[in-house]
Amino acid sequence: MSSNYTYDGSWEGLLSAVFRAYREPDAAIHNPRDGVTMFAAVPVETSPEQAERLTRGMERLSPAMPMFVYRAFCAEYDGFETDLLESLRLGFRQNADPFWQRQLPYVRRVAEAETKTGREAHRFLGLVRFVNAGGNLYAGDIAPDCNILSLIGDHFYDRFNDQRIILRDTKRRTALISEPPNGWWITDLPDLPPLPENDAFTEMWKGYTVALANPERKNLKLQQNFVPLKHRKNMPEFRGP
Amino acid sequence: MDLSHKLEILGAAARYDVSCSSSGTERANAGGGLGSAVACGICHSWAADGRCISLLKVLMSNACVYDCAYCANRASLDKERATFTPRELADLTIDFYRRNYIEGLFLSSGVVKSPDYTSERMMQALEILRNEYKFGGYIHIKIIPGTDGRLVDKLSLLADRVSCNIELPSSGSLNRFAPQKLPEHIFAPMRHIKHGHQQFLEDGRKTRGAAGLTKIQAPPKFAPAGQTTQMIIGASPDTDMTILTLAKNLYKRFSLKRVYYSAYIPLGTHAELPPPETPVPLTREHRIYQADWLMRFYYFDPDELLDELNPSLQLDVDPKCDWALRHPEQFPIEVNTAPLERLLRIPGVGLISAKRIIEARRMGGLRLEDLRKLGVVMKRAQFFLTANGKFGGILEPGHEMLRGHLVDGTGMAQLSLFSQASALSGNAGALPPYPQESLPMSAAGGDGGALLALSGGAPALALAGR
Repeated sequence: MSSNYTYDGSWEGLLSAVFRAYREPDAAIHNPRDGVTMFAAVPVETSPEQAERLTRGMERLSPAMPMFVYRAFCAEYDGFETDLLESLRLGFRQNADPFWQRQLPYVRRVAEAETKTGREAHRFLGLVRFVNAGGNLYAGDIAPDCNILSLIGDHFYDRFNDQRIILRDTKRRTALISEPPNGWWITDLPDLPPLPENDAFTEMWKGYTVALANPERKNLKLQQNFVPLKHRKNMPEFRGP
Repeated sequence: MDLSHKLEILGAAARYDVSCSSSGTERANAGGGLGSAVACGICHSWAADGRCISLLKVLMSNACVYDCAYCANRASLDKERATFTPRELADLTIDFYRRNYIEGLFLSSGVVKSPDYTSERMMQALEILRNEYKFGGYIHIKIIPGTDGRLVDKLSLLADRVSCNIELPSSGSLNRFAPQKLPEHIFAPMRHIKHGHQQFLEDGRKTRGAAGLTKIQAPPKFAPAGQTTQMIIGASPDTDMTILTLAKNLYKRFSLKRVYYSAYIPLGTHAELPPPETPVPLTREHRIYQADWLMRFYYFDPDELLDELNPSLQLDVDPKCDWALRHPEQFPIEVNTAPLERLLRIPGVGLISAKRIIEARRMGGLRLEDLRKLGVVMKRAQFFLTANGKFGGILEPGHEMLRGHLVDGTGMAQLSLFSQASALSGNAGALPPYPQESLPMSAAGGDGGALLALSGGAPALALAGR
């Protein structure tokens, strides 16, 4: 009889569920996002100790593997948990990093999710826009496809080491709070009051981005490849006059 | 003049400078300060021409005493001129940076009074940023040709990347269109920067060896992200051969990180420049960039791509494909055994897919259908590779129709429809049906198999395709 497991949605919870299901060939893991599944799923209790053991195991196959899998997890795609379970079984059986074997469909889905998150996290290091919200507090909104806040916290904390930051993920109602020198963390936001749209430099920036384009090389399609329309609402240079 | 108007003038004046990369240095925040640099570079926005905006790219001034024929800021043009004060520019950089608009500053300038006078003003802006604001972000500084070596040194110690633009790819063109600049005005700073940068790298190696050195004792960073240059494409009659050979020599002699190419936008009135309505040679620029990449990452030499008889890159097919079409004897390449540098010769296989092929084939032989999943562009690659001896292309590497197919694909699309139709009508005897399945190469090339039979009918089919 095959077992169905579910977990609390956290990274450690995921690893605990994988740990539990690993030796049951037909086991499946369901994401709590899916809500009620057709099958009764057994909730796996999150165990930091088991998560740690699995992390060490992955590191033995490749030192970069835990972060790789974490980024794939952040892509939040349906079926990820089961793909991961199969990929890890393959990896531990071969005693090698399984994620080079993209010719296998379940490996490819995990690897492509990792690429997607990695790309998006990198892209947003640039696309984030802050508005001065008084004093040295700077605020911004993003609505990324993947859950990237935890991946970009270090960057913004290190870079803006003399300003406070609130960066909100309006899709997931979470926020990255950076308060040097105390560190950065992620918090849930019950509601999202609108941010001020402009400050003293918004208009100057908009004018500059227009001036910099070569009219003789105009290529809006190319521009859209890099800045998809869905991300533009939070970027002042793409908001109307 | 208010600051935002100034910014628009000096931003518009800087749009002919191509480089906007913010890569090549890693710098942690000084602690409690502002700014860092990331080795891979970060793009922040994209302008309506599709080019990225990573740095605040502006001129210090668009006033210029030079009168270079091709330039949008030449002295004889009647246009609005503006100049930043060093303080204005430094403050603007900081305010944009805090809002995450930019990764840093790209500063160039027209020549105000003299190269040295201009460079000193630019240096003042950099000093305010680095010393007063402790700015740790990226700075790219242009060296004005003819600037004194000591100033070049000082600028290189403040900036991450330094560049001195060649603009015209031969001394003849330089003499004709920019008579106030001498080749030596450009190559002297390049040599200077190369030596300074090498010294910095060497000192770095030495100090890394010595234990217990603090950060303060580490050697000062001299252009840590190296130097680059830029050439204009299509203003002068110089060929692609001239341009790529010069690029190769620049990479070799001055250890440049990048050579940028800028398709000429007809702005000049000089009788020997292209007239104003000439289209901007964007495709040519693109092909030259592709060839540049082949030189830097794919072990290609310009001599392999071009020669005296064919001094221009093909516009309708990329340079790697073109090379492959001219060298059918090198193909097909077996993906399960070929070493990296051979894999990189296959059109449709890039650096990443080549690496993935090498990693994935350790765990067992790769099949043709696996390759697409590894990121190989089979549309092009199918004609140039085999997997476990299987060939999947509908034309062999040396086939006379292959070029036409790779250029637009229309010939073959029509063709395969046609052959399907003939197969359906049961008329396959009159026209050999196209082999749809993969053929082992020996059968194709050996005893007059399907592919050879096909080439007999090729001219008629090619006509049908057009």
